[in-house]
Amino acid sequence: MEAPATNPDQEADLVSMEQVRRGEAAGATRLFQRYSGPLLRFTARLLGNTAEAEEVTQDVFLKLMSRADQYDGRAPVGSWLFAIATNACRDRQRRSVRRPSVALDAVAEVAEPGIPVDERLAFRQRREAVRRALEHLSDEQREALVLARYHGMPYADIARTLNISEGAVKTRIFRAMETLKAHFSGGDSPWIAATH
Amino acid sequence: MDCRHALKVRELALDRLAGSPATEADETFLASHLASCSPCRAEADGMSAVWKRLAEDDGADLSPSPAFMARATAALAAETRRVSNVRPFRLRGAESPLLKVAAVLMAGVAGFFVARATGGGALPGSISYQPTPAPFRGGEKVALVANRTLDASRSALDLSGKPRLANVSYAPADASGRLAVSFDVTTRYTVVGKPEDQAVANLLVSLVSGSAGSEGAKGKALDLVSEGTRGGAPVSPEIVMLLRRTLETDKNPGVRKKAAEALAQMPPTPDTRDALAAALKNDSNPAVRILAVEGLARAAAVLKDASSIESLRQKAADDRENGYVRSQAALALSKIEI
Repeated sequence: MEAPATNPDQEADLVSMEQVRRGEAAGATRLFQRYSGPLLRFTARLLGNTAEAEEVTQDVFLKLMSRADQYDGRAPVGSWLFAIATNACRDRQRRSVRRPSVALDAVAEVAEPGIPVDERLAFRQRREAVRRALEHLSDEQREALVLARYHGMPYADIARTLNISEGAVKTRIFRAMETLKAHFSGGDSPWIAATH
Repeated sequence: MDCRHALKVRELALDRLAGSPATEADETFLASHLASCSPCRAEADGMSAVWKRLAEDDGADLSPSPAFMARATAALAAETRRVSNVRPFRLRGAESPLLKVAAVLMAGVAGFFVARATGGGALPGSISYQPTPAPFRGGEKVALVANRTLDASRSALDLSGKPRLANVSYAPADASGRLAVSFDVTTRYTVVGKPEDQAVANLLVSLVSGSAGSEGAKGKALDLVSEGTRGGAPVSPEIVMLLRRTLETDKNPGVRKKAAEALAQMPPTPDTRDALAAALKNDSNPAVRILAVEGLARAAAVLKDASSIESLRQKAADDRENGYVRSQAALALSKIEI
């Protein structure tokens, strides 16, 4: 038998999934409250467009309800939801010829009191630079890196989410890191030359 | 880069950044190597700098807006109403056997007239279909054997049905002049019977025990068991044992869930009760435990035994258990009429 699910959050996720399967609204509500934020941030970083990310995130939860019977409990519920979101983003990316037209930081942001305007501006510029850098990655590299860096997902869960091996996850993240290093420094990495 | 450890160091450095657990030996190696190899140290520092820089995008502007939350919540509520209005299709227990018998009779009568009209041969211009052999004739035992060797001097092969011979291979003549022709005859068998029939029970046990070949096929076999037990039909002891074993040992929680569902729907017996009580106590998956609660509630109502009630009572009082599972156990207890 599998190792006991010791993580209380994962245990609660499994119960919520069972509630969804039984048509009890409480299960979907809890999963939405827990995962809507992370999924919105994930899809926004993949798509580069907040409006599309909101549509995709909402669709993920509608699919969660219609496909609850397909969830077999082998992967954590979170990985399963991220996998649905990844596929939905890929569908969008395939359909759209052009890259996102609305920058993420165009969305109105609540100003934090007590932080000087120039500091806020500098912070936004640095954030914008990071997002521009992420656009230089392939979709596959960006998926793996975003899951690892921004969602703290272990390699094994990323592998399940993206339906690839753990080795492929590491390779994608490493290549992404090399590309970003070259982008940030404006030069080539010696490791690329040494290993490829 | 010239360092022969470059590949290993880069992997370990990335693992460290990503929070992947490393062995003590790997950590020691990485620390000592980085202390002595400046090119590797420079690269590891470079990776670390990129990792830190990515944190400058904190995603604070990507929090769900109130408008999105309201819109999505409304869409989920509408979907919940829609889903709860859809009832899965179920055969009506009282009518389905009659309908099945009628369908079989009609198909048989129609087949008889078609065969008589066409002289029993193939339809003109159509593919020549091979008849499915009837495996059950007066209790005949049909061996699904892997290999049989026939001595041509003592056997006559009936090839009149034009069976499809697959994977044909030949062995040249030996010293006595005897050659060999090997082949597989592909035949699709259909086993028809009730769940309590020995042949059906044995077949389902074999499929769930591994001969189904995939988790999906195993799950379908369990679904078939569940479908058969839903109406309270009797079940063979082999199937109860199989479900119990599956519930105790299968690594796939989806398969265990199906086994628990089938057991929970069966007419309760001490065997099914014990299997469900063990699952309620030991299974790591809460969905399985919820189904065990339902099954034990039925067992308590039918068997009127203290054991089922005690299992539910313990679960309802277990403060280490998930709140929903405990509440389901308490709810089940409140509904039991002793």
